[in-house]
Amino acid sequence: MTDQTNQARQGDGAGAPAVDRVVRSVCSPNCTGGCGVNVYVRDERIIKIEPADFPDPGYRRICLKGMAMAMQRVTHPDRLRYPLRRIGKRGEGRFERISWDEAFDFLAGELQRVAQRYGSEANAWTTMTGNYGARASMSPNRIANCLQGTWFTYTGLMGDLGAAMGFLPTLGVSATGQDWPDLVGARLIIIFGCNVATSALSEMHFLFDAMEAGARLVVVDPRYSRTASKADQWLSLRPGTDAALILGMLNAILEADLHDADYLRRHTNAPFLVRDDDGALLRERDLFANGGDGTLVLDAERGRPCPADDTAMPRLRGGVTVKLLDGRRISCRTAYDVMLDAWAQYTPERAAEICEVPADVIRGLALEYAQTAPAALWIGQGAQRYRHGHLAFRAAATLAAVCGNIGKPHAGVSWSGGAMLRVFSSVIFNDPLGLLEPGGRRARTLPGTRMLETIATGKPYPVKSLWLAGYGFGTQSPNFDRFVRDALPRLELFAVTEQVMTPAARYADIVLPCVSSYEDDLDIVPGAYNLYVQLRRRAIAPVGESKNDWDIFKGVCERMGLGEHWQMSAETFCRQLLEQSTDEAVRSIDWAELEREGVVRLALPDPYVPFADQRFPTESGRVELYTERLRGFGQAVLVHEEPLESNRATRAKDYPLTLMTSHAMHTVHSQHTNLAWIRELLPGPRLEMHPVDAAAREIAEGDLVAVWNDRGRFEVRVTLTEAVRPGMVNLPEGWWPQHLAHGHYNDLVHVTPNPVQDAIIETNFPVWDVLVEVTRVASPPAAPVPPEGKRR
Amino acid sequence: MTRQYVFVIDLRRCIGCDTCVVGCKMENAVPPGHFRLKVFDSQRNLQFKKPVGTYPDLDMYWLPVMCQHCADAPCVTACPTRALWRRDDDGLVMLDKERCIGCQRCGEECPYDALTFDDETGTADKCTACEHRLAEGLAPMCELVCPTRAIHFGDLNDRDSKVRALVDSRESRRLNESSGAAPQIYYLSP
Repeated sequence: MTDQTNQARQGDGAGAPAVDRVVRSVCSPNCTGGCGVNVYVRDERIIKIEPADFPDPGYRRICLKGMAMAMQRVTHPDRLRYPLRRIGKRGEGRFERISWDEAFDFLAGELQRVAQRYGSEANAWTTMTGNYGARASMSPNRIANCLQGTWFTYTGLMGDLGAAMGFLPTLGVSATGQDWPDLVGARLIIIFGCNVATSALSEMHFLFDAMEAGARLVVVDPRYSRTASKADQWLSLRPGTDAALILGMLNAILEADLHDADYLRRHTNAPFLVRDDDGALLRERDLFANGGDGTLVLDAERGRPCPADDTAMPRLRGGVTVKLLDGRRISCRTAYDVMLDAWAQYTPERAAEICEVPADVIRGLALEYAQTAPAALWIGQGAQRYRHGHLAFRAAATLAAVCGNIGKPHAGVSWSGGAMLRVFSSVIFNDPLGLLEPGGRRARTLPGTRMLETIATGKPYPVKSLWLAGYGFGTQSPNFDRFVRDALPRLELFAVTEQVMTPAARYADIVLPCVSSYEDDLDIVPGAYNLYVQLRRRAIAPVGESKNDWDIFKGVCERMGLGEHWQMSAETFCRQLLEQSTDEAVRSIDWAELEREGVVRLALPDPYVPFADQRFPTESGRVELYTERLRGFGQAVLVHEEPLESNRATRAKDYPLTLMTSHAMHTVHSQHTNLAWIRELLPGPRLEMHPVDAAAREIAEGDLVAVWNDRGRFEVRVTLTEAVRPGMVNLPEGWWPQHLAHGHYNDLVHVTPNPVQDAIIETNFPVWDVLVEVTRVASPPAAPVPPEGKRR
Repeated sequence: MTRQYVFVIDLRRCIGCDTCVVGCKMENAVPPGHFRLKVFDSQRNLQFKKPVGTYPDLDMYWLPVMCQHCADAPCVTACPTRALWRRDDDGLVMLDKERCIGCQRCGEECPYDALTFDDETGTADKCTACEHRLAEGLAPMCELVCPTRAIHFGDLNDRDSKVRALVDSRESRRLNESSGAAPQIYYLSP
C-alpha cells in the first residue's frame, strides 16, 4: 500500500488532542486550483486541512470551498451510505436499502437485458468533472468501452468546448497557457471573460504579483467582477461580443501599421495564397502534375508562387494570377490580404457600436497592446458561453499572433493549459495497456450535447440505459426538466453514482454511493491550470458502504464475465498512465519522486512558455489565422457573429435581458451549496440586476421575481447592483431546484446545434446565449432567507 | 524592546473570498452562526456584497475585521472579571473563557464588534491571533490560508519584519482611530 503518512503529531488546535496521522492529498472537485492539502485525521475523521508544500510556494494554498468540503461534505448527514433501489415512481424519492451484491446483480442483469434486446450500444454512460482524480474520472468512459456501450462526450455538454474550438484550428492545441508565475514580468495583461479572483481565486495572487512588478491589468467583462474591481481598467462590453472588440483592436493595430510583419511571414499562414474562386489555399497540386498538398506563397523578389517552406521571407501582401492544371486561370491573394479586406469593416467605431465600449477606448487599448512588451493575453470560459463563442478564443490567438506575442516570456495567449490535458490527451490516442479501452474494447461515441434528443428520439439508434457518475446532472445540465419529461421515460435503466441525493439521483432507478476524494484509492491529479502532477492519497476510510467509481464498475463487470479487465491496482493504473504517455514531459515524471514528494512538475522549462520554438501542431506547422476548412461556414477569416439570442435580435422584444449564470465565489458549481459554512456566508440565490432595469419593472431590492422565456421559468430573489450592466441579469450559479422558489435556471437554456462547431468538434452548450424577461411576483417577506422551495 | 504583534491586511490584494473566515472557523472550532473574523464590503454588508458608485464608474473593496488587539482596549477596561487583558510581551489582547461571566460589557464597549457570545451562556469568544499556533512557531490560520497573500502577521517592533516593511512603505490606516483604543490592525489602502 502506498499510503504515506507522517508520524502522528500533536494537534495544534487549542487543547486539541493528538491527530492519528497527516496525509498529503489533493483537493479535487471541479476546481482548477488542484490544491495540495495536508489532511489531519483523528479516529478516521478529518479534523482539519492545511495547505501542503509545493516546489513553488506560490501553489501552496487552500480556500474556503476546500475547507468546507473536507470538513462538512465528507461526513455530511446527506452522504449516501449504502446502495439504494427505487421503490416508488421515478422522482418520488422513495428508495430501499440494498446490498452491493444485490446492486451488482441488478445492474448486470439490466445491462445484459438491454444489450440483448437492443444491442450493447443501447447502454450509455457519461460523466462530468465532479472528481479530478485521473482514475476516477476515466472510469465511466472505461466501462462504456469495456461493455461496448455508448459514450456521450461531455466537454460540449459542459459548455467549455468553445474555447478548445477557438484555439484548435488556430494554434493546433485545444488549450494552452503560460505558467501563472510567468505573468510576473509582463507590462500589460489583458483578461477577457475570466473572473480569476472568483473562479480561479487561488491563482489571483499571481496577478497581484505581476501588478506589483509593474504590470497594468485590463479586464474585459460585462460584469464588474471581483477581478475587474482589481484592474487598472475595466471594459464592460455587451455580452457575447468579445470577438468584435478584438477585431476592432486588430483593425486599429493594422491601421497604425503596428503589426509584426516579420512574425506574420515566418510563423503564420498569413502569406499563404488563397484562391479567389473558392477560398481554398492554393496548393502545389493545383499547379503541378506531381504536386502535393504543399501550400504556396509569393516569393519576395519576383512575387511568383513558390512553396511556403522554400522562403523565409515571403510577401505578406499581393496577388497573382495562376494557371491551374486544367488550364483555367484564377486569381489568388495572400491570406493576409483576404483578412485585411474582411477586417476593414471592424473599425473601432464599428466595434464600439457592436460592443458598446467607446471607440477611443478600443483604439487606445489596441495601440497600447501593440506597443507594449511583454504583453500577455488571458481568455477565460466566460467568453465562449454564446453560440459562436469559439470566435472569441480564435480572436485572442489572432491578436497575439498579429503582434508577434506568441512564444515569448510574460506574453502569449493563454486559456487553461496545465498538466491535465497533457496527461489525458496522450491516453486517448495511445492506450497500449488498456487504461481507457480495456482489451482494446471501445464504445460508440455520441455527442453529449445531443444526449437528450438521442434518448428521446431513439436516433441515430436506441439508447435504453444511462448511467451517470461524477455529474451533478440535475443542477448543471441544460434542460434537465426536458430530460425528465422527454428522455427519462424512454430509459429502461437510469443509474446514478453519487455522494449525496442530488436532484438527478432522485430520479434514478438505482443510486450507487460513491466515496469522496478523501476516501478514494490512490489516484493522480494533474493540474488543470498548472503543470504539476500530484498523488492523491486516501486520507480516511470510505464513509458507510460507499465505494469508488472503479470498484463500482468492476463489481458490475465481474458479474458480466469481464472482471479480468478491472484487476489492475490503483497504483499500477496511475504509474502506467504516466509511464505510457507519448508526452515526454509526462513520461519523465519519476514515480519514486512522486511517491516521496506527493507532487512533481512536468518535465518542462520553468517557467513554461508555450510555443517557444514557434512550432505549432497545425497542418502548416504555423499559426493558422486563415482557417481553410471553415470557408464553407463564412469563418475562414475571423469574424464576429452575434449570439443566437442576441439582445438585439427580434426575440429581445419579448425577452430583452441576457441571462448569465456566473461561477460563484462560494461554491464550485453545485458541490458546496449545501454546506453550513458556505450558507452562513451565502444564504441563498440572488439574481443580480441593474437598478435601471429593475425600476422599469417596478422591482425592488429583495423582491421575489420570475425569470422566464418560452422554454421555462424560475423564481428567485433579486438584488440590485451596479455591478451588472443594464440589459443583462446574472445569477451566480450552483443552486439546486430546492433552493429556488420555482423551477430552475437551466430550464431556460438551449443547445441549438451549431454546424460550424460541429465541423470543428461538436456544438458547445452556449450557457449564456439566453434571453429572458423578469417580472416581480411578490413583495419581500420579513425573512431574509428565501423559504425552501418545492422540491422536484 | 518588547514585541508588538500586528496584522497588516493588504486591501489591494483582498478579494473578499471569505477563506480567512472559514479557516478561522475550522482552526478554532467557532460554532455555527458565530465568527471571530468577518469580511465586510465598503458599505458594511456581510452578504451579497456590492460595489459603490454608478455603472461604469465603480469601486469595490473588502474589509476583513477581527479583534483589533487594541493597545488601549475598551473591552479590557470594561471587563469586570479581568477575563480580558493585554499581554505585556507581545501586545495581543487575550481572553480567559474560564473567568468570563458572560456579562457582555466587552461587546458593548468594543468599537469593532469583534466579540461574539455563546448562545446559551453568553460567554465571549474572539480572535486570539491563533496563539496556540504562535506558541508552536506557526502562522495564524487566516494568514496561512489567505489565497491572495493579503494577510500578514508579525512583530511591528522588529525592523526586519514583513509587517514593518509594509507599514513603512505603503499608505495604511487603522479602523475608527478616533475611538482612542489604538487598534493594532493595519489596513494597507486599496
